[in-house]
Parts: sequence; C-alpha cells; structure tokens
Amino acid sequence: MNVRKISTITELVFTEGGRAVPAPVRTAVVLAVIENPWAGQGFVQDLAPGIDSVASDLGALLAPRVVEALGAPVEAYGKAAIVGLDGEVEHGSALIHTLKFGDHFRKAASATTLLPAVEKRAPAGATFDIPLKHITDATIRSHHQSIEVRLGDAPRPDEIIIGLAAAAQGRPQARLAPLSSEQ
Amino acid sequence: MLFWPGIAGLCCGALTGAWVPVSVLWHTRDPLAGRITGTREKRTHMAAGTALAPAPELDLARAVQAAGAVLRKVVVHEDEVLREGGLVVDGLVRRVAAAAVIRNPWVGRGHVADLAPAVAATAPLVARALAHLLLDAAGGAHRVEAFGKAVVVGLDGEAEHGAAFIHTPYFGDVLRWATEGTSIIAFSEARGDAGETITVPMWHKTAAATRSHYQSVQVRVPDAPRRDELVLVAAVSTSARPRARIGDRTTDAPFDPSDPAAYGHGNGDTGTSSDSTAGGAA
Repeated sequence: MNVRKISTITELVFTEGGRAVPAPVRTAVVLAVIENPWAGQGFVQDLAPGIDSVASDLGALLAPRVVEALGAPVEAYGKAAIVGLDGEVEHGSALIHTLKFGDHFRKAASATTLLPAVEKRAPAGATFDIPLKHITDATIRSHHQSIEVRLGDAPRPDEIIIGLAAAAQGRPQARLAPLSSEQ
Repeated sequence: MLFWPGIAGLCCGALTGAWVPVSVLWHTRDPLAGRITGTREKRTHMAAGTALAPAPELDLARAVQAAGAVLRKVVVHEDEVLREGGLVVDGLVRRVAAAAVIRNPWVGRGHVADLAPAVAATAPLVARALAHLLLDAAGGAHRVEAFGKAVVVGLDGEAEHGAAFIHTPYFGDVLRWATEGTSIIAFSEARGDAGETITVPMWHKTAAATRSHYQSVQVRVPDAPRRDELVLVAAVSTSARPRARIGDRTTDAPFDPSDPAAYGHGNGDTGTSSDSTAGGAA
C-alpha cells in the first residue's frame, strides 16, 4: 500500500443558530491518499487479492488516528472512498465495504452498526460529504449528520482517498422528535 | 515552568477492553501566561470511550464572547506528507492550518474609524487558541520551522477589517511568540463567500528568505465566512518542502534580467534521474 499523504481535519463548533452550545461540538476526519491498487491493470474481475492486501492495513492506519483526532468518545461515525478519474467506483467500494476495513474503526469506537459511506469518482479538489450515524443505533435521529471535506491535490487519476469520520455527539442544537414518536 | 497534561483521562479503561493507541501531548507551560513553550509526544494507550478533557483554550468561546465578539467554530487541517514525486519523504513533513470563524464586529455599523479596540479585545485570545492547536498538531514550538497567516472577510465586510485582525500586533505577535519565531509572517488575504479555499503561505520562522521553506497549506471552512463573519487562520510547517532542491540565493547561477540573453536561451531540461540527489528512497 502506497500512502502519499494523510490529512486530518478537526472541527469544533461553539455556536449554532446564534446560540452557544453547552460544550464544543467535535467532529474529526482522517483521509489517506493512496495509490489505486488496481491502477493501470485494465478491468480486473477479481478484486479480492487487492482487498486482502490493502483494506485491513488501511483500517488499522486510519481508525486510531480518527479516534485520537476527535479526542473524545466517538458517538457517530462514517467513511468515504473517493476514486480518482482513471479508477472505478468499485475500487473504492472494494476497500471500504469489507469488515477487514470497518472492523478496526468499530472496535476502536466500541461500535456495532454499519458505517454509512460516501463513494464517488471525482477529480482532485472535489468536495465530498461524509455521512455519519450513531455507532450503536442507526435510528437515533440526533446523530444523523455529515461533514464536508476537500483535498486540493487529491485524488489524482490513479489515486483513491479513503477516509473515516467521527463525531463526539449529535448535531449541535439537535431537537427533532425521535423516530419512535412517529411509529 | 511546569508540566501540564494537555489531555487527561489516560487510565480507567479496563472495563471496555478495547485499547487503542493514542498520542498524548504533555505541554511545558509557563503557568502564569499560559504560554506553551514546548511539547513532547508520548505514545500510550487509551481505552476507547475514555473521556478526554478539552484543552483549556477551547473554553475560549466564552472568553471571546466576554470580550464582545462571537467565535462560531474552529477548523484544523493537518497534512502529513509521506511521499512526493513518487519517493518516500524523509522525516516529519507536517503542515497544519487552524481557522477560527468569528463575527465581523464592524458589519452593520457603517464606517468605523478606529478598528483597534475590537481587535485588541479579541485577536489575542483567538491567536493564542489557534497557536495551541497548531503546536498540538506539530508537536511543539521546537518542531515548527515555518509559519503563515491568512484572513477571509465575509462579503459584507471591508478588506481593512481583515487587515486589522492579522496585520496588527494582536494576532501575529502571539503566533510568533508561541512558535518561538522572529520573522515577519507570510500572509494571504481575501474577501469571499462561505467555502472559499484558503491557501496560507508560509516561510521560515527565523529566516524568511530561506527558499527551501517557501510552501503553503490549504484550509477550507464549508459554511464560513458568512457575510458578517471573518475567518482568521494561522499555520505552521515542521519542515522545508519535501525534496527541496532549488538552491538558495547564495547558490543561484548569475542571472541578469536586463540582459537580452536571459530570455529564451535556456537549453531546457537536461536532467536525468541521476540528478535527483535529495534524500529518500523509492
């Protein structure tokens, strides 16, 4: 696995809707820019060998970093795969839609639910939104949220951005009725 | 001086059973001024789910409010470069930009002649908080080699409003002091809408003309600045550009821009891969 750079973005929100929040609202994203393992190989039918050689290492690289960057217990989480223009979306999906990748984060965050994801093909400098949901109950509405990020020089056509996002709480000033109130 | 734990809550995780490696930063502080004079990094383990106390500067939203302003959010963007030009980079190459979104104190008040009072009340608090975050990410003032600053003024503000915040002592002097620098600080400024990508130039913190340290880092706050906001940015780098190899003013070949021979007579690229003598291995 060739990693060109690792970018960490942390966000702290102090006010929302003109009102102070009780404690800073913390969100963190860690992005690894890697060489597409299938670059230059034409259409590869069997992605399993590439997945086996990269996905777990990527999960092990990113999970502790995003937990550390957040600096607080993880309550919501999500993941991302942004494939450079010469690749297939399937390449990015291959690396993040496997337990080999996601279980590192699940374990580090004491989480149980599926990780919501964004997958797309895009040029360098594209913005993308990483969706986050609650780590143990994906129906908890207060924790449905997303964070927008961008790297100016990635992904190159033969690269993939793989990312993890973590939030220490739900949305700032969340005040929607729970799902159960409509059932 | 005393050691002050920047992050608390390192123990008591046995119940969860899930231990993850984290990097804990211990700051050497001047307890009176709150100045961060150094940071050492200590690899340790923390139980997943262990509560961490926020750094004290992050309570500054209240302090800024008490000073008559509003701090809405802070975004920190850190790039760690591992490969450049296809080759592995030697040493730690980490560039960090920290951006604070504050309400423009002068929007809606017409032409305000004296900008100093609002800046003096707010800028030092914001600058100190941003410096804290930068040093946390960089690993301490001793790791910082280059620095820069920037401002984006929301659409209803004046360029002068941004200048007031970053070109007066209340912001730059705090960054220079916290990073133990002496140079004038490289900067960029713009007026723009929310989501403007901010390219922050940086140069060496004690020797601004050092060419190897000319570099920049980008940061972007998707929802800021609003029309009545300012985004204030401070940035640091822990190294020169990876694989810097363009010499310096002391090593440049003679070049005279008034000499017609200076134009169009170059022999182009004669380099071969063996010219790449900078460190690193494939």
